[in-house]
Amino acid sequence: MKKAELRHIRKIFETRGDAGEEVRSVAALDDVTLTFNPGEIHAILGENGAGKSTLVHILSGLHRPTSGVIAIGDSVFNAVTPSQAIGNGIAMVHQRPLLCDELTVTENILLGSPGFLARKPKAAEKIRAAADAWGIELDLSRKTHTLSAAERFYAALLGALLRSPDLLILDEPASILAAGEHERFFTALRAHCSNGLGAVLITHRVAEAVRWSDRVSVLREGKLLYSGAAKTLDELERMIDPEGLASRTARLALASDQKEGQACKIGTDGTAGLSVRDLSASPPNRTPLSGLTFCAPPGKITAIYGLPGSGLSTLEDALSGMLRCTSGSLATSAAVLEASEVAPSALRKAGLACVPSNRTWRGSNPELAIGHMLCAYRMPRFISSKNEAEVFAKKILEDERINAPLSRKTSTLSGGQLQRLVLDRELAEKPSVLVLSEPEWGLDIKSAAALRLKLAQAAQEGTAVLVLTDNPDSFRDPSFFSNVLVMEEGVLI
Amino acid sequence: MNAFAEFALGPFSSLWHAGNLLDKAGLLMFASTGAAFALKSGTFNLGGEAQIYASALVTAMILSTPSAVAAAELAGSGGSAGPALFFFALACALALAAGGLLGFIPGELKARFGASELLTSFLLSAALLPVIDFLIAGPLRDEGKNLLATPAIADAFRMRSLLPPSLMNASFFLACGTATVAALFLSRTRAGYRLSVAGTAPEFARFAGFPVKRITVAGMTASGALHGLAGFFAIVGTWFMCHQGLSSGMGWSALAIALIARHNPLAVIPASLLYAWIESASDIAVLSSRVSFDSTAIVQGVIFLFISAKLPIAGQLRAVLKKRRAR
Repeated sequence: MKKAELRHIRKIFETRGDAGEEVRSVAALDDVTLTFNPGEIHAILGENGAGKSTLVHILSGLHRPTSGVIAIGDSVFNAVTPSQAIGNGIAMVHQRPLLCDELTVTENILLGSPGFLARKPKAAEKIRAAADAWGIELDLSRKTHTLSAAERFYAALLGALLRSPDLLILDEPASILAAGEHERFFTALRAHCSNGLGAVLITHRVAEAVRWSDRVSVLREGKLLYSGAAKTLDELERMIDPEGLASRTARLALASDQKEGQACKIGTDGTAGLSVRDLSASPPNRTPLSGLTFCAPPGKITAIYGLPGSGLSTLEDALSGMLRCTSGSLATSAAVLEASEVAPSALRKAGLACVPSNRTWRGSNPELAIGHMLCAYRMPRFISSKNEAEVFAKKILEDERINAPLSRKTSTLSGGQLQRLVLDRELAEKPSVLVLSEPEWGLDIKSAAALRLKLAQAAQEGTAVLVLTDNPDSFRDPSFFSNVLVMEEGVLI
Repeated sequence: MNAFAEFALGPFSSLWHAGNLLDKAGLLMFASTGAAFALKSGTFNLGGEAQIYASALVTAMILSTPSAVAAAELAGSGGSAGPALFFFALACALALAAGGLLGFIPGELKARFGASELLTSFLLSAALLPVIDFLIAGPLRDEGKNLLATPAIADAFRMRSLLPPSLMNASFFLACGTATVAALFLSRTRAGYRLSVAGTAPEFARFAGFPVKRITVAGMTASGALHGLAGFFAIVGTWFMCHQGLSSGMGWSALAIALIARHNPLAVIPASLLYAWIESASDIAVLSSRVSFDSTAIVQGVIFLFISAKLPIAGQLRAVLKKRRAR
């Protein structure tokens, strides 16, 4: 098994602004030297934009470093290409892997594999062996568009394992695995590492790094702060977020939240907030909803917790109008919508806003300009060169301290930045109901704290906030929510 | 070498050639603005051929009805021009409607049943072309002439040449105007913004509550109507009668131009001019030297390959040069 090393890696990104603006350079990585040993789980910690992804992308060949060298085993490279990386035993599993939707799991894994002939049965056998060794249960003949987020991750993992890597890079695997699976996956990873496999684990969950890794490296603003044996949780958290913003805002949010009983009467007229009655939906290949009745009172933060596969994602689609429900009704202070009337435009008119779990393709689109993404609800009928929509979008970027021209594509934003912009866009409409699905996905401690503060503020202004989440530790502090509902197999229990 | 000079400069050797080049470019501009419109809305309109051909036939037929001929005679003999103008406008409206309808059908099929507009627009067009061929060769043919064509339209309906003896007329400027208006619509109106967003980001557009299905239908219908406009001006400005095979690949050229222009109606203007130049150049080269027709087709193909490949290559070159300079 080979050792991989990054020596004095520096990566400068240049962003071209609007016409006439200066070219800006940002150092995503600044003189980082790191060693990845075989047989170790090496966690890389840091907040959004600290350079974690850039670092592993350089190792896996997606990015070229501006300077520095990469040493894998005995070979030294200025930069590796993706195929060189794989050839030298470095495989990466992305958090949301790009799979070809119309192909089966086996076919997806075979894409790009060496050799002239694709021997499917033989490959399937090998894949099944790998799946068994890792305790992964996955039907290899399923088309990938029917897979859940966790299953897609497993499919990509199997693809990486089939190239028998020495070093396996995992990008935030925990955020899409359910609690039980999480434990099983890391146990399997541990076992394989004790046989000599090296693993790089990108994560923002400090507790996870402390529990599972042998070595921890902390990045902040492109600089390596610490690399060595895992420390205690507190020490690491202080290193990642020295200002302690996370704890400060958590307390603030808590103070603003007066705990009261459920003050929501279902079925009475003049309902405020969101009340849902007997909502049923049965989309193909997904967990159906059967007769959901619940409410999210105004001025409160309500959570619905459910494991992946519990129907939570079906509920998200139903509440955002992306899925036709078979029966039931939805009511806000502005309108009562029967199942047949529920559509995105009708819901928005009724004062409902939504931050979907799929921020990349549903809440936005990588090909869209940032300005176009932000002004979706505010474009004036005729667009002059200096219009209020543009002013609005510029203000959001300014408030979020994102230094980017409006014409730049959203694909240049980090996941955390995109999440914040989508939330700001939805909040700017002053909705009476705000539905958020997995709002904490991909956020570091600091951004998550800022999110909590924003939600608490919105609730204080009278918005009914509804959070759908599969993470039991979501928001760390259960008292953040005034009410927590639990969903299982399409019903609330 | 001689052939190459002929090739590059041929179109500018006389007013006749230059004017005809502009005329051809104008017609292509209408149609490729239409093709770009469909592409912008996220659809592919492969029915351009029939949309042009059918609209041209409709125009020629309206303008050769007895009452239209009478109105033209009235205008020609110094009488009121009103009736003639009425028929001219009617023909234009019906040409737009014919093209629009042929775009609307695949659009509606996609919105309602999810049928691929790629297939339906192509099949509809492919089925309609022989029908129109038959109509021109049979029931609608001008029996008095030796051509496979409808009767010629009256002088009063013909657009005056601005560069005699060539065919170049005001439709060229109207085409530039149409492309500009289309570009302004896309970049400067909310409807245009929604159309482009629905084209590039369909799921996001649906999530944001845009009427994505209606946008699909509107995009295809507008695309068809713009092709119809090309058919209309092909009759009143260029050929004055609908002859068999009038569209002769114009729909496909328009699609190629729209792709070269990267779906941008403003870029359609230079792209159409370039396309028309290369086409006229190869026609002239065939006539003036012993270049075979097929070899000019190869030259055309190579040029377009380079044009469409140019941008990414330029990007890479720039990156390489920059790195050199940095070192």
